[in-house]
Amino acid sequence: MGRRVTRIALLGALALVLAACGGGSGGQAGQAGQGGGSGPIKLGQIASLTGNYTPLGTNDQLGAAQAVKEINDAGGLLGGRQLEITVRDDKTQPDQAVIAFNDLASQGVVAVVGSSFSNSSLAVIPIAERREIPYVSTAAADEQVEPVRSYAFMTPPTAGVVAEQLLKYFQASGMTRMAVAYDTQSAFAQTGWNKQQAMAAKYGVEFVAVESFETGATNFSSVLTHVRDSGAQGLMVWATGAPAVIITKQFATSGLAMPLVMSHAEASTLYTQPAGPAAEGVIVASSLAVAGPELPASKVKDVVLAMAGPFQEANGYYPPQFAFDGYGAVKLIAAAIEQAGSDDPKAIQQALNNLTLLTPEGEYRYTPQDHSGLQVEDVAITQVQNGQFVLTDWSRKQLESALK
Amino acid sequence: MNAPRMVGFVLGGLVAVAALLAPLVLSGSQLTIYVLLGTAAMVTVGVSLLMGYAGQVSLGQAAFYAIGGYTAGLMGVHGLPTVAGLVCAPLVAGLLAALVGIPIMRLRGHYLAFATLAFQLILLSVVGQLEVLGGDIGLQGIPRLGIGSAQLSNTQSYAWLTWAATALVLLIARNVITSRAGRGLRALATSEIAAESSGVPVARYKLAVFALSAAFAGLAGGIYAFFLGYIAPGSFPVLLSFEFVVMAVVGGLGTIWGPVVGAAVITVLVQVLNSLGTEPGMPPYASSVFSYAVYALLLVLTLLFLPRGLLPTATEWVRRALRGREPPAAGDRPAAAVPTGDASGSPAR
Repeated sequence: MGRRVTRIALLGALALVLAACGGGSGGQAGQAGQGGGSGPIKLGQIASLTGNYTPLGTNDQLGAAQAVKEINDAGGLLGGRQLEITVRDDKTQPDQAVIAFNDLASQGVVAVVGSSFSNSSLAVIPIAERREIPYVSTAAADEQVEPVRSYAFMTPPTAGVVAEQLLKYFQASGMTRMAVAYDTQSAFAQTGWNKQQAMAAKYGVEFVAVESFETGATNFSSVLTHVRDSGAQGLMVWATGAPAVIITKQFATSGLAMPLVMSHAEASTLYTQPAGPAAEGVIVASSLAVAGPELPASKVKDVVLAMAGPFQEANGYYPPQFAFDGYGAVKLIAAAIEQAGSDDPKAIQQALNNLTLLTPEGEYRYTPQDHSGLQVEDVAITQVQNGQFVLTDWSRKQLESALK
Repeated sequence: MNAPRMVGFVLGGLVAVAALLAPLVLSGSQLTIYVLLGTAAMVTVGVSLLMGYAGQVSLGQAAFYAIGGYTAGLMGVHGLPTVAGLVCAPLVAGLLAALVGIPIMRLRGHYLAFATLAFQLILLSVVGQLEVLGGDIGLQGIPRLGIGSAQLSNTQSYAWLTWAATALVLLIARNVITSRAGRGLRALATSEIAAESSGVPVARYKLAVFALSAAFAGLAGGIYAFFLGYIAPGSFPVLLSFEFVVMAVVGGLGTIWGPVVGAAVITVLVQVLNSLGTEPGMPPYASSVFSYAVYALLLVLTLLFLPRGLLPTATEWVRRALRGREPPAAGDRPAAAVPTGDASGSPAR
């Protein structure tokens, strides 16, 4: 008995190996699909469907799929050609993203919607350059587009523009003596803080306490004590994921009577739900899309609601930032294909280089010098009220004049 | 040379030749998998040497993979000859392992496993902090491997480089195992006290094999860095260390080829499950189901029914088939006879 089971198990493993060999070799046939033709237009997507960034990646995938469906329902691109999207999982690992990209490229995709994991994107970008396939990343690191590479674009607002908008808010709110705490292990947090520090003087903001911690930190009492002693008027936190939630909870019980400010990394239910009541009153930067229903009547608000309505219906929750990123990336690529009048990757890159497009996250203005597209005005400053991101009065006034 | 050994020899040769010719027919993404499979195999040979022969556990092998990668990457970025980077990668990894090993190789079993794990966590933190190493953003723009103006630019050439490096690692591992020192290692895996009283320099041997396994990982890391051109702390997560151990155990501890089989099977399995999970028409949660549930189930089944690993079990079948209708001797069914606990210990005894 035992022997038979053993054999069956091994046969199963063997079958899997054979399936792998057979499955992969079909890739080359797709190469001919590039360029002109009348068949469907093939897009690729790399998403972190497993690993640490699963909550981000799955929403990237949902957002992108919705955009593809919308475009196809409206009659496709280039006079009726349907859009097809092939998704590959990067497992939140840079080398898996490279495998995924090469796989997609060999299937003849004309452009790729990128991973929300910055390290994955940074690993893929040189290969996208070499293979000359446009890569529209959904990851947040500024380094993807600084310096500008021909084929790399990004959808989220850069940490740089968020840092600047927050400084404007501090200045307008009279919060000129600030404390900061940042996660030294997060590339995003580090970049955000570096940019903010460099621009602080320009907006008359002084950081009187600079505290750092690590991603795994669970006790922030010493950080909060230093902040209390510094006489700061507010605490700015640069972090993603768990530490942001923990510091929020400990801040709430510390009795510190000053605003707590978070970057756009916390602008989702992934932050507000675990933080619960402790998040009430926290100031959070976000893209326009996240503040969506709150926006003053404008074209941006219309496109936000057009995306959020069907998404909410299909998935049961308001789309998080990552869904808007995946959605926007497909829309940007589609607009570039239409503008180029071709599905040739090089033509798409040329079109992306000079593309202006209104999406739920604001109006992207890609230029040969700017591959991030969003401006400081495209960042909303919200406050958490009853678990929702409500526009601050300052931000509402700003947007009312900017979105006219 | 007896018949089973002959068969093993011929099979090994066939696999080597097939692997050497494979890059000619593989497509772009398959070549990438080939290279990553090869680097994983090199690291796993080290893990297997450490676990299977010397009876020591390392849950931080990806740290030495990272050290090799950063050594090669850093030298490349600063304009030093890339070949020197590739040579230094295993040397630096081995040297650092020897230094770290002096205190931690005094530990045994779980304590050693935790110490190696901690070493990796510390290393990743430190690398993430250091601006010169690119911090958490990572080291970008690592040049391709080459001598002077001649560069290894296509994936195929990296596949062959990986093949050659894996062959070198296997050869070294084989020579170590069959040497006098190798016998000493196997002795200390069974009982350190007994080995020591028989004149085996236990501490020195343990440290040496730890450094050697780190050097293998370092060499793999060097190739990885030049191949991808980008490394970051996120490229070497703790889970990767666990994966190397899984590869070693699934392939079969205490064999030379087992780690290669383990690395191949696990790498291909992961890719197949990834493809299945993202097939068109699959629900969004399919990826997690395939990558976690199905993957875990297959591993558990392997460990339950093939506790000695794939290669030793397969070898046993071949041996039995060759013996033909001979009456089964005692211990003819080792897969059932060996207690499962042995899978994590040292079946080489």
